[in-house]
Amino acid sequence: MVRYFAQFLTILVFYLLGNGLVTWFSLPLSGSIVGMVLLFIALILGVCDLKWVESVAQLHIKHITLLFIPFAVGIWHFTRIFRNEGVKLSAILAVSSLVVLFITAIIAEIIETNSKRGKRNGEND
Amino acid sequence: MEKMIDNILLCTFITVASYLMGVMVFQKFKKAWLNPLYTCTVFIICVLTLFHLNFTGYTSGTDLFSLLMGTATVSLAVPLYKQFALIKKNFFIIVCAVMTGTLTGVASIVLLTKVLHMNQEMMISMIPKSVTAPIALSISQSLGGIPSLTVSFVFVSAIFSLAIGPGLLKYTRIKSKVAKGLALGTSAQAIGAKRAFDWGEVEGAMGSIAMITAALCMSLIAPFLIYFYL
Repeated sequence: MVRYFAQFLTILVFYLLGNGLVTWFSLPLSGSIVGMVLLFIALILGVCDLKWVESVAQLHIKHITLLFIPFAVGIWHFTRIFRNEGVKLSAILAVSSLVVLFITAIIAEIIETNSKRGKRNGEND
Repeated sequence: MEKMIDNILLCTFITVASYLMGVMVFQKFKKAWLNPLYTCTVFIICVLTLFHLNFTGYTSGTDLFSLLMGTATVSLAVPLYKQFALIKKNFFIIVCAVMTGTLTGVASIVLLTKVLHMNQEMMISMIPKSVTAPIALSISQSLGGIPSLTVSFVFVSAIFSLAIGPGLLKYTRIKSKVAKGLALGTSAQAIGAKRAFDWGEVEGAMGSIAMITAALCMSLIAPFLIYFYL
């Protein structure tokens, strides 16, 4: 229990640090993302040990659904929008999602085949 | 002041209790549509309507969850760190593919909402739709969108990507493991990464890397959008 609490505090420190930096330099980013990048860098540099945050981080990610519930309940305010524009909204979301999916895949595929071909040519030389 | 604390305690209690019940129901029947998010949302809406409680009161009573959403976002550094070796090896592909994917996503939303004459608030709420929900929320808030709508858009897009995505990748003959994982992670976030794990270890890892990279890309793009479109 104490271990969980300490781990949560460590993560909280990074969150507050991120928020602090954002307000300090008035960055147009959210504090939580800056906090995430800071924790990532700290883990790489070995400033922060994986053991200090791992269990609580996994707990967060496992139960992240819980955190969405209040927002999902908030949708109740907007049922009118879904009734009036639901079809249009779904169409836009579907098309855009597939565009994202396809473009990401095709770019990755092209880069990968090119770099493989490059390596093969290099070996021949 | 005392009343406010009561409210926070009550709302937190209702939410956590219904979540625990939702998880139990889900584990018992193991049906995808019994996802705790759906069952809890319906349950809480029913409770609020039955007891004539107002929704604004409930939403303002859930501030604790906003804090946890922040720490949850910070926690994403842990899965990212665990994949560090894989990221280093494929750094160029990951950044190029995910960045282009995210940018075209934003462009397609702007274009489609303009063509279909949706209002600006809707457009802004849709822009972060292919980013993992906690980060999509904060981006939507900072751009002036409606967070509740954004959350639903995120889940709807993930469902679409998951339903059609694997078929599309097969049809377009995308074979690269890296490409498949990145594509699903960028468009369907955590659910996509989970699906990618069914294909294999590399695809799954790429999926979770892509999910976080996409979120980073989007939060870097977002501030510039204010100058361009808004």
